[in-house]
Amino acid sequence: MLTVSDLHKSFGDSEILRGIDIEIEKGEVIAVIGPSGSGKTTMLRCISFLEKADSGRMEFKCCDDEAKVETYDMHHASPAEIRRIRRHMGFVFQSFNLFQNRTALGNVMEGLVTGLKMNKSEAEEISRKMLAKVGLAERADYYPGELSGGQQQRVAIARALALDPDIMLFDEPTSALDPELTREVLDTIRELASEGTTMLVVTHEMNFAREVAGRVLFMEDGVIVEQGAPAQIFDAPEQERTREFLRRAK
Amino acid sequence: MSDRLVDILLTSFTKILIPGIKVTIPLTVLSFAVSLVLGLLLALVLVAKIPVLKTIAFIYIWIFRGTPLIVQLFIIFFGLPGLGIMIEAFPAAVLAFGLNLAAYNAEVFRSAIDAIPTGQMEAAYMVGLSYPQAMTRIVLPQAFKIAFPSLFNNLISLLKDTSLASSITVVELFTSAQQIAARTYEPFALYCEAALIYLVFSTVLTWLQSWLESKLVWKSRDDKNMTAKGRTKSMVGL
Ligand SMILES: Nc1ncnc2c1ncn2[C@@H]1O[C@H](COP(=O)(O)OP(=O)(O)OP(=O)(O)O)[C@@H](O)[C@H]1O
Ligand SMILES: [Mg+2]
Repeated sequence: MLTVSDLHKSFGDSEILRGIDIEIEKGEVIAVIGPSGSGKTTMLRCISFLEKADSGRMEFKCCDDEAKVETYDMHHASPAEIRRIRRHMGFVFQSFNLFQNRTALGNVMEGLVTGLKMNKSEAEEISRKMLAKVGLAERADYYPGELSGGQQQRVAIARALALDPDIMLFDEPTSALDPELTREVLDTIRELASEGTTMLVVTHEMNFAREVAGRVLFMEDGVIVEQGAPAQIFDAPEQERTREFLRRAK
Repeated sequence: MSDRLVDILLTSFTKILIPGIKVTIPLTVLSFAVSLVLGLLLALVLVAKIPVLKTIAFIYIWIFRGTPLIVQLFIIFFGLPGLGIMIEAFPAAVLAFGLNLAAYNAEVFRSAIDAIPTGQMEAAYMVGLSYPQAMTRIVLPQAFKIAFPSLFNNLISLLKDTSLASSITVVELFTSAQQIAARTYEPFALYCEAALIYLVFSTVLTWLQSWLESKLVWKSRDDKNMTAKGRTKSMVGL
C-alpha cells in the first residue's frame, strides 16, 4: 500500500537516514525498533513530510487499480501533494501535541471541521464515536491539561483516527508515560491492530512489538539492518548488530 | 490651603478631566488599536520568516525601539510637512504612538507565538489544517492569552505617554493642566491634579486588566469556576 524507497536525510554534515526502503501492506502492523539516535523519528517525520527528505520516493496505492497509484518525490513534493499524502496518514506524537485551547472533543473535531469542512454535527458525532472507541467518552469536555498523559495520548489517537487514515504512524507513543498509563495506550493500539488498522509503530516496548507486530524492523545508524517476523528478529536475529542491540535492551 | 487654591483646583478639575476623557482616552484607544494590528502583522511576518518582509520588520522594530518617542512624534508632526506631508496634530499623535508601540507589541506577540510548542502546529498539519488555519485557530488564541498581560502593561504605559502629545499642540489632559498652571501661577497644585487624574485612569485600566484576565483564564481552586462536573478548568477556548 505504502512504499518508501531510497530515503535519505542529513542534518548538517551528518547523514541520519542513509537509504531507507520500506514496503507496507494494507492491514500490516510494523514495529520499528533500534537504539536512540538511529533515525527512527526522523524517518517517520520524513514519511509524513514534517521533515523534508533530501531524496526519496513514495508510492501510495489505495487499491489494486494501477491508475490510482500516487507517486511522490519526497524532496520536491508540492504543498498540495503534501496535503494529499497526509490525507492518507494519521500521526501520533511522542509528546501528544494536543491543541491546548480545545477540549478532547474539540481536538478530535478540528481536523474534520476545519480540514475536511465537514458540518459540525456530523463531525461531533464521528468525534464522540472515536473518543468512545479509545475509552474516553466521558472525558469529551475536558481540556488536555485536565487529562492524564495516557488519556491525552488516547485523545491524540482518536484525533488521528477520526480522519479515517489509511495508515497510522506512531512515534514512541508511550515513552512519555508511566508503566501504568503505558498499558492503557498499548491496549488501545492493540485493539486497532485487531481491527486491521495499518500501522507503523516506533517503539521501545519489545514485548508489545513481539506480541502485536506482524513484522519488526531493526534500525541502526540510519539504515534498516534487519527485518522479519517478531519471532525471527527477537529469537533468531541474523545480524550481529541486532543481537547486540537486543542484548543491551534486556 | 487657601480658599483661592481650593477654588482653582475645583474649577480646573473638570477643565482637565474633560480633555482627558475627550482627547487622552480616544488618543490612547486609537493608538493602541494601530499598535495591535501592526504589531501582530510584524510578529506574523517574523515567525513565518518571510524573506524580504522579515528584514523590513526587523529594521522597523530596530528603529522604533531605538529612538525616543518624542523625536518620532516631532518627525511626524513637524518634520513631514517639510516633505509636503501635512498631518493634523491629533492624527499625527495617533500615528506616532501607534507606530512606536507596534514595535514593542510585535516583540510581545512574537515571543508569545514562540512559546507555543511547535508540536501543536505539526499536529494541526497532520489533521489537514493549512498554515493560516493552524495559526488562527490553534496558535494565536493561545499566544494571545500569553501576550495579554504584557499588552495591557503597554497600554497603561501608552496612556501616560500620550501626555507627550501636548508638545505637538494636541489639547489633551496634560496640555490643559499646563495652560491653567500658566494662567494661575499654581504649577505644583495643577500638575499634581493632572497626575491624580492620570492615576485614576491607569487604576481603572488595571482593574479592567484583572477583570479581563479572570474572564480569560479559569483559575483553579476557585469554586465559581467549577463546572457542573465539579472539576476545575485550566483554560477556556477563546
Ligand atoms: N532537527 C534536527 N536537527 C539536527 N539534528 C537532528 C534533528 N533531528 C534529529 N537530529 C539528529 O538525528 C539523529 C537521529 O535522531 P532521531 O530523533 O531520528 O532518532 P531516534 O531513533 O528517534 O532516537 P530516539 O530513540 O532517542 O527517539 C540524532 O543524532 C539527532 O541528534
Ligand atoms: Mg525518536
